[in-house]
Amino acid sequence: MAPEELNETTCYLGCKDDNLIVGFEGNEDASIYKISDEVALVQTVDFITPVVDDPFVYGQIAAANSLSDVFAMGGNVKTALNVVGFDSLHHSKDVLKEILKGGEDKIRECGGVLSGGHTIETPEMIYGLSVTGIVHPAKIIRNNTLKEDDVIILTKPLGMGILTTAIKADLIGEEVIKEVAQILSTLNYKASLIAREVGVNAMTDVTGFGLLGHLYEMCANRFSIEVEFEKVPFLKEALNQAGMGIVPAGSYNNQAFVKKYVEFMRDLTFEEEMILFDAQTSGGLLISLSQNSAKEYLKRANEEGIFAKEIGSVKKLNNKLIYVK
Amino acid sequence: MNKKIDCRNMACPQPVLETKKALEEMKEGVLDVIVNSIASIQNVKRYAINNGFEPKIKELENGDTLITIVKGYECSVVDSDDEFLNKTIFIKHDRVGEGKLGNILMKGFLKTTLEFKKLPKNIVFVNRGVFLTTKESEIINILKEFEKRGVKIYSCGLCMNHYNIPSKELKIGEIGNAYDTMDMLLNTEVVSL
Repeated sequence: MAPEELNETTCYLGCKDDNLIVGFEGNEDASIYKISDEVALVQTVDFITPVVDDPFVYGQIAAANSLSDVFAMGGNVKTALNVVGFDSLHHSKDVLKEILKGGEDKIRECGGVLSGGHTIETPEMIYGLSVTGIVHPAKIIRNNTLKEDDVIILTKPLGMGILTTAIKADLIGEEVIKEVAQILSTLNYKASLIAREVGVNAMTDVTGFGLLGHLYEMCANRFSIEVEFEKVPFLKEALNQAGMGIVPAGSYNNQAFVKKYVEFMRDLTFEEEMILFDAQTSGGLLISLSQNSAKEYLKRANEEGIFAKEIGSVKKLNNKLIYVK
Repeated sequence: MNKKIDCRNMACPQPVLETKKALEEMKEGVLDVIVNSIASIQNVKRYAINNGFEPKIKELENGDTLITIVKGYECSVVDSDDEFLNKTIFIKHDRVGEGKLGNILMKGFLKTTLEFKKLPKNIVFVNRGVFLTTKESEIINILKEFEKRGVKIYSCGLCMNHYNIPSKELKIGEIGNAYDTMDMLLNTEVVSL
């Protein structure tokens, strides 16, 4: 659903509680509820329609997508519940088994346990998780607590919205499908662990709002962010597909909403611009950290084989919130 | 072969796929695609442009959008200036030179002119030339071919009066006036037969 539409609906709900540390406000990745001085519950729920043909891989991707929000808050996953809409008219029970196996595979990978779930018949397949994690109340990593002169790091390449649409249209070869599936099913777990060890100022994950949409959230009208387009990682095939008009509606929605906060200081083609607005599924972490910490982060990530790229920096608040160089 | 496809309420990438399929099935013709979302308009337009077409976008009354893609024809808006030579054939007699040969030559030259791809914009008949546009003869049929291909044919009204030819006898083209005639003579290349 488009961001403004959702805002309009949810702003009427009354959601205040003394123990609710993080709720609807601030567009945070997950909700956080204090249980004690040392423990707070992290909760998030997410589900998606199929993005690849292989049911096991679909399960992995949907799970990674749902689990990501816990990591983006700096928490650890404890339990997860399946949320399933199954189209049994067109698919056998074996397909469902494979999807759930894929999901369980990812939950286990980050130390969590699958503890139940709910399945209904639906005309279109959906799968995801309702995830519960924990975090120390004083160690929550919010998405808009940037500091001036911070460096912005991204831990997965972009273009996934465009490419998953192209996969649906059968326009992509096996090689690229494999690469896309691998990127989508990668957990943000290790990337988050390194962030916690190195010490960061703010963190979120890139999902439906696109890179520029999530950077806009991070700015929170308090800082401006400069993005260096040359440094932004994305799959080249996404440019080709965007050129063929394979751009999901969600990405256009993002462009319509975020464009007014962005100044393009260099001329980008339509395709290059759409990469920056492209809605992602199971995207990487967007981390804001001091320059020294960034050096340390990139070193550690390299040592452990975790993808990480510096893409921009935090500046004093200016006329526009985001500048693309 | 013309086609029309309704791609309203289709999620990306359906509209582009339907457009692609329709264009592949057409050897040449006009494809009309109806869509009703910004994403679809942008995507189909982008697909068409990147495949060498020139899509035309038109807002329909009910809020939908019509995208027209032409395949095969040399097909932008025909610029009439490009179709014609910027010339005027100026005919001041009913024959080219003296005698019966003059008649044969007039017929021959006009007929041969029709074999060219690009024709002069105008043919102007003055003085005895007006007999060619007012008397029944093979010349009239030849001139009709010029008219079919968009050439403008003018006969001098003053001259017709002088030779007592009533205007209703004019069998082809229009009665020209001095101003328009001079305009043609001054602004196009003049070929006198």
